[in-house]
Amino acid sequence: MNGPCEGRDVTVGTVGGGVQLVEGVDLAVEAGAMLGIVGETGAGKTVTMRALLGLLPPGVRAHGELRVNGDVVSLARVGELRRLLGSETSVVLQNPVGMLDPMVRVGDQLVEGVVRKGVLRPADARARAVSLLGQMGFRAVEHVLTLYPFQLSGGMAQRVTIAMGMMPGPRLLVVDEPTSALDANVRLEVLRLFKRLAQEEGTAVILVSHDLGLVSHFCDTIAVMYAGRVVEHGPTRELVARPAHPYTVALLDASATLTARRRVPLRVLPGAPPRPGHWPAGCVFAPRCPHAQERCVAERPLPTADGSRGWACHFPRIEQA
Amino acid sequence: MSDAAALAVEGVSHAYAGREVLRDVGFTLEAGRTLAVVGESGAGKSTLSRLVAGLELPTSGRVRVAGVAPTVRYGAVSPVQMVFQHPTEALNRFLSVGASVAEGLRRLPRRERAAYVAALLEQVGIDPSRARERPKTFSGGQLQRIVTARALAAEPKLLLCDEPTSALDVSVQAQIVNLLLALQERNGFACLLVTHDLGVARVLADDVLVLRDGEMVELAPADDFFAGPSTPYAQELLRTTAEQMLVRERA
Repeated sequence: MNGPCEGRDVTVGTVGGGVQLVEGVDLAVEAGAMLGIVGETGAGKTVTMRALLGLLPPGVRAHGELRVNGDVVSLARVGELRRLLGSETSVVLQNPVGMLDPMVRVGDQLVEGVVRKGVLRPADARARAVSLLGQMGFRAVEHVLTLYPFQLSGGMAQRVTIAMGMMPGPRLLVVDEPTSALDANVRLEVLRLFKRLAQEEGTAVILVSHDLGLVSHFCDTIAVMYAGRVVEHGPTRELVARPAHPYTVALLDASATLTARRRVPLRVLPGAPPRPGHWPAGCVFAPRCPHAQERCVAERPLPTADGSRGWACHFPRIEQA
Repeated sequence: MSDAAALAVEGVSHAYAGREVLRDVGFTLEAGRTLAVVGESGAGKSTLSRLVAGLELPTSGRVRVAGVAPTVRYGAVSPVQMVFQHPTEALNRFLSVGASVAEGLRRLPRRERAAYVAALLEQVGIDPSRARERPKTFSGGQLQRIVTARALAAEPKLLLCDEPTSALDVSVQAQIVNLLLALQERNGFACLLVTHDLGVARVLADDVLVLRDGEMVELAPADDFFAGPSTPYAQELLRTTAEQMLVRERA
């Protein structure tokens, strides 16, 4: 049962319907593939992921569906989502050191969750921990199991947390802003090992990041979020080479790359994204869009849905097929 | 004295508890120019910036800012001003942003300061009418602009930027990069940019200094460095960076 993992029509808002945070987000990741979610702070990336995992803060409620390994779960049923979390779904948090309990040895931490959840028996869990740490590039695995988190470097801690996320053999793993604090070469190594591991195990990975460079190198597909919705999604190569949504174009243009020219200003997108509760009536991007026309202000564009690519724009920057 | 370089670092070594973390580092930086200091964690980048800011004295060698040893004294305004990675931590959250910016204006009579604060905020793209607000009402990008305004208030000889954009969103990063370019053009300060983001260094820097384990590996004009560093270590650094950086094949 290795179909795609999906979030369907994910909609998140405060209880009572006061403020909408995410609206109608559709996401799909094939087993063994990696989907990158990019967008600015406040675009709803993390909230969407929390909705899928059943980890929304109190006072916030989600609708929509999570489809994983043949199960279809309503996002309103947090208890169900929590039951899946740590078995079918799993998560690696932003700050690797923060995710680890400073008082507990690495080996015990790796084993604890899956045993408590009843996914694996203690001996099997320990064997899996050993095997995962090996796959994440540790040599003296038995020794690593006895260490406390403070004895790990940043790169080691990140590899441990990834192994921890993979412990239950999840169908869906959400990784939030990984490796941002690591040196370039360490980061590259960690992500390579992780990608291979996820492929081998057929885990669908959603990587949340604001680093377009990272996402463009490691993810098979990308979803671009803006003001609580996906404004464009598609295979990485195509999306980067031929972005359709003006917001995607602006994000790509604003990135400082090695081919930039010295002392030549970057192209910036003026203004700031609208805050939740202040979304404009038409296209949410219209107030900042250099190509906005009357229709954009009046009418909210619906996402196109043809095959693997899609966008929500009345006047995409590429010809429609 | 007026012909002294904005920053001169001469044969500087530094040790913590007997362990040497910088070894014989030397370079000069002229007014109006930017030097990017790059390298992995533990290369000595932070130690170098602490020495340049005058937060510590080097174990040996000397640092001169416009010909003078930098020192930090309470109540004095230093010719070295700083912009750090996390703007929320850099501002006093109990002070209005205007009052924070005004701290660099102690050389002026009190009654002239407000007008200067307004002009500085304007320069960095913050609505001067918000000068009375506290930091919590601003976004990260706006706070970084305010921190930059506070730095400029002191009319620094040297602006020390330690990862000024790494905590910001891509679109906001671009705004800050452009702001630093424009301000340097106008105000002529020298800029020491400590960063692991070689994309940002590509745009801002005139020269690049590569540190490794406390030693200078390479010091080169930025255009030469990015065209192809001369040392294997710097080549490797550039290569691993490129493998994680956005590459756009224009269709």
